[in-house]
Amino acid sequence: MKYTFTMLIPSLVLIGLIMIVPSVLTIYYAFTSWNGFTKPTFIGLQNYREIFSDSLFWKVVWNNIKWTLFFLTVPMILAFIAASELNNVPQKAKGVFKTIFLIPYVLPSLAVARLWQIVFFHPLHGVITKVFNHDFLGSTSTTLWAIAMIDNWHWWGFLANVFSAAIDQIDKTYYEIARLEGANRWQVFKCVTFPMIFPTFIFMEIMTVVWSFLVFDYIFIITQGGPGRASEVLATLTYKTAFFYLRFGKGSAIATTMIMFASVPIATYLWLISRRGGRV
Amino acid sequence: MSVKRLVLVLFIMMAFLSTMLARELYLWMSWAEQERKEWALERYFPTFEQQTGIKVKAVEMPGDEQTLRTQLIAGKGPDVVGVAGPSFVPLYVDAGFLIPLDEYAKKYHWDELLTDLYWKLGHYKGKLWTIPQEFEAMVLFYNPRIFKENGWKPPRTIKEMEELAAKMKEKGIMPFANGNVGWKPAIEWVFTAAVNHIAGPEKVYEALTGKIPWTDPSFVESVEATKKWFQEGWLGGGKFFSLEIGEVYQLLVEGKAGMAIWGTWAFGGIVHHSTSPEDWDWVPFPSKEELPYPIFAIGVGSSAGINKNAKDPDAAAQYITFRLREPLDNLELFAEDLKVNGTTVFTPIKGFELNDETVNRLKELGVDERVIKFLVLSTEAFEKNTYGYVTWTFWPPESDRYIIDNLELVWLGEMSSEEFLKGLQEVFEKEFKEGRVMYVPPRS
Repeated sequence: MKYTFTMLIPSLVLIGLIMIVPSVLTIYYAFTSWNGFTKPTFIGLQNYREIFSDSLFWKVVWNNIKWTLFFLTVPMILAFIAASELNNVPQKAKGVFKTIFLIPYVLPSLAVARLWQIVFFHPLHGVITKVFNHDFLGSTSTTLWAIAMIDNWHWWGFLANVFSAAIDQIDKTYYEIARLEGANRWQVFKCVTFPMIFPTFIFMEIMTVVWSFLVFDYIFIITQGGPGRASEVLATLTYKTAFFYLRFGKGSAIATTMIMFASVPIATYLWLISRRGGRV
Repeated sequence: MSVKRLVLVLFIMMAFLSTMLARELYLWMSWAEQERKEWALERYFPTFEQQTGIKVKAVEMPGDEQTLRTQLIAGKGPDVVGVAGPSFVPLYVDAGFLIPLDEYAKKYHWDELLTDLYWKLGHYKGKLWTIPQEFEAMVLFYNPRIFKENGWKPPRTIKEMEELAAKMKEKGIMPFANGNVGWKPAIEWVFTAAVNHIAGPEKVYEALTGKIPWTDPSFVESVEATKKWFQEGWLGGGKFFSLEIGEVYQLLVEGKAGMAIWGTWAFGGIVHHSTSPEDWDWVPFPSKEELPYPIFAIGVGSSAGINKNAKDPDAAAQYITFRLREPLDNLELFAEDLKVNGTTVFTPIKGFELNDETVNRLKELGVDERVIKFLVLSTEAFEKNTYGYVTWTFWPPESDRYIIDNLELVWLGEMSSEEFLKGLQEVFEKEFKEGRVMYVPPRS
């Protein structure tokens, strides 16, 4: 036991320094007025009163919800289809496909964002712009969905690999029995594949909600929350409030609301596990 | 010990000592093009080193202003601190990042060099903290070839400019090569041009000094004009929010755009895209008929302060002096600087006159006549009091940021001009009471 604890110390120190200390400081600064230059002044709940009474904050939360709904559905469906079909592909070819699916995921987000911004969504000569005759990134009604599509291109392949790995763990006997009983592909998926990988699926759904409320990179790189705040999310609002408006206290307060939103699915997941004896 | 060995030891000791005693200056630079970097490293800094014996260690700025602030908080950062503009000086001073420059001003006679405006812009709480640099103004760029082909003349009034924009749009030419992808604050260039050239510099002065509110009808008219320019599809051809700032020079020189609302910092950028004198030219930004012409809304790109933790503050002061005195002490170097970097390198100083002799000499040294034209006309604007005020120099920081973030809501129809200006007034009033509005040169 002592040995185990000793071996855990380096990780705990790292987690403490990188995660716990900044998190605690963020919570502290959320109750202060601080411009990042001079000393912070304690102001109690004033930052929160300001945030919750600001219609911009709720508009931004709604953007995060829309982003979350997109990522709970579109990449999941694409990943499931791909993973299910991979199950029917010979082993050698499976490796090749899995690698191809993973390529977008390993590219840096800056490279992916710029590629799509210049080649596909450029307002004057982008491929998608020309096909649909619409400036997706410059329009308030489509900018958030366009950025979500870019992030989806980056993300869904990884998800497909995760689901494929989960499907690979399913005992092949179940598929044989299903085939012998005359089940079609949809029935096999519904009665064998999906129930068997349900724990993996539910975990990825929970994490998708968490990650969706933390989204920052693609939006900041491509539109910085514009035009007209149409693609603004909590993370970009936090950043701009702190670094552009020099209101680090208020920015910290917005960041803590992100923690609150992200903890809801985590708490839900833990509750589900506890209800089902450690299994989902 | 033999004589040879003694000489060798002495030589090594002297080399070591000279390294220890060598004066060094640590700078952060932001070079938009490779050409500018090469010229600085091969010509500009060696000239300074030769003159002063101070070795320059210049590195590419490792981030943006946030990185600079983080470094300063940690007690590091460059010796010469480039503060984003005069309105940020109080923040840097109150945070204790900078040292007062009064003793260096006396030593290097900066008070005798700087014009009244620049001298006062660098002051805060009775002391000198920064030397404003990078003189710039809002103007209207245009493509002479397109104008010639269509029989158009560069506009002098807002009405003429709008008529031209409509004609350009009909012909499939982007009226204004403007976009804000890559630089969100590009929207405030349009606001700056509008308030100074529609409401007028007198009104802007009154608002900046708290005599009239930003909700004045003249500013409503100005903001409504910018909304019209966007909604008519003139700014960026209707793609203002998706057009990259890095592409706009190419659009103008290629003739895909007819005009552009830029500042004179663009001289340094557009020369690297242009292949012919017919590619671009500029005129003073048009004004409303009732206002004087030309007006130059002037500003300061950045201000130079000295880091509290600089190892050799005097070396930093010598560098600032070298930059200031460049046109006086080394016209050839100044001419090269203008050719590579544009007019942002110029700080108007006493004793440097743009008389015929200097102008001809600059032409002989190969400085673009379009650039010289700006130096001459803008200097005259100072003398004739026909100058205005750019937002990033004269507005306090939160008010400036408010304009950047909220003007687009007006253009998109999500906020009225009145609501926008009411919000600006609220933010501005708070900062005005806190003393965050820097020196606003009075109208004479």
